[in-house]
Amino acid sequence: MSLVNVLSLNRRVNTLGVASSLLLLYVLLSDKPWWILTGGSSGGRTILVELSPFTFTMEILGKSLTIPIAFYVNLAAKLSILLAIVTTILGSILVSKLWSKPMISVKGLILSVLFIVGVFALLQIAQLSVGSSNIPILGESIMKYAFKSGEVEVVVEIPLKSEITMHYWIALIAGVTSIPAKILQGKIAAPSKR
Amino acid sequence: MNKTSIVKTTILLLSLATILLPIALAFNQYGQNIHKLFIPSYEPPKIDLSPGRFLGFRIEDRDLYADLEFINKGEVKVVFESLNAMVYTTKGSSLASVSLSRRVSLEPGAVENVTFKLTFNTTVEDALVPLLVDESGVELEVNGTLTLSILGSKVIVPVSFPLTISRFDLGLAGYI
Repeated sequence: MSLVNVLSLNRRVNTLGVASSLLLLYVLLSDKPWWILTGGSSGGRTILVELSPFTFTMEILGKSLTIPIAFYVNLAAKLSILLAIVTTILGSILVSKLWSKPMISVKGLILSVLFIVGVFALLQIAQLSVGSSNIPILGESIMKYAFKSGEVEVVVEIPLKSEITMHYWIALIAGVTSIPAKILQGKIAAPSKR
Repeated sequence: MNKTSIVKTTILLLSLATILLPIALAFNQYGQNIHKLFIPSYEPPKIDLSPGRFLGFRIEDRDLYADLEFINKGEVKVVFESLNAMVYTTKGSSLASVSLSRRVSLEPGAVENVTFKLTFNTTVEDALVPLLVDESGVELEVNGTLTLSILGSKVIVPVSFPLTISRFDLGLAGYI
């Protein structure tokens, strides 16, 4: 029995496509952040940033900061991934149809890669605007920020910690799985040469 | 058009719709003020730490303690972590170092006593009596940095303020 037959349960379903879709569905429905940045120590929290393509939360000194565009970006990401999940599941079930190959989407992988690029770009912008180069994309650092308050210069030292969460890795695994799923779909749906 | 092309086109159109629909919603919501979409909205909490009543000086061992009330009129907890300062005479010579006798935490709305500890090279009397000869009080200057902790971050504030110590403050009215 060939690997293609094993992975497609005898050409009945694209299991990799189903697995990829279900992982993406879990990530979408959980609505959990993919990247978290926290500032502060000893139980205090000066800054909190929670990001994913589907959520945006930012708190500074315990108060929320909102950017209206974030809601619409998150909505577009949610709808795009929802469409990718639906088409991939349908394509995986309708595996025997020749026209089902385009239904296997690799948007999960594209989104995971774009997300990291986006976080990196946002950090560069943030660092330029606060005049600091110590905001980590991953790990810990101490950000020093000086500002004038009347005649005196006040220095603020914020211990920062950032991490990529398990939900990002699940999304990446789902995205990476979609590549062999697409290849598998092509092999299953290809007309027999015999 | 074969079935594969139809599927491809349908997915492409739906993909475009997933992008265009939120854009249309944003336009509908913000209309002409589309630039407002990019403007962050944030109202910082009030941070207001004010000195209250001066509660007086006291001498313990070789140190002089000054008690001062602080009122947290802001919305966030503030902790006095440390003070690293020096006391100077008007002629600029250093007389004593100043530190906090203990870490003080001020919840929003709280009033707490903050005790400053002045450590002299000699006894308090030996250091101050020469300055109080023929004077009812001595004008001093405190310079240094105060470290506060606000929501887990360190805030280092330069401090500089005058300090007047009179004979009566030290209980030296009949001493000199």
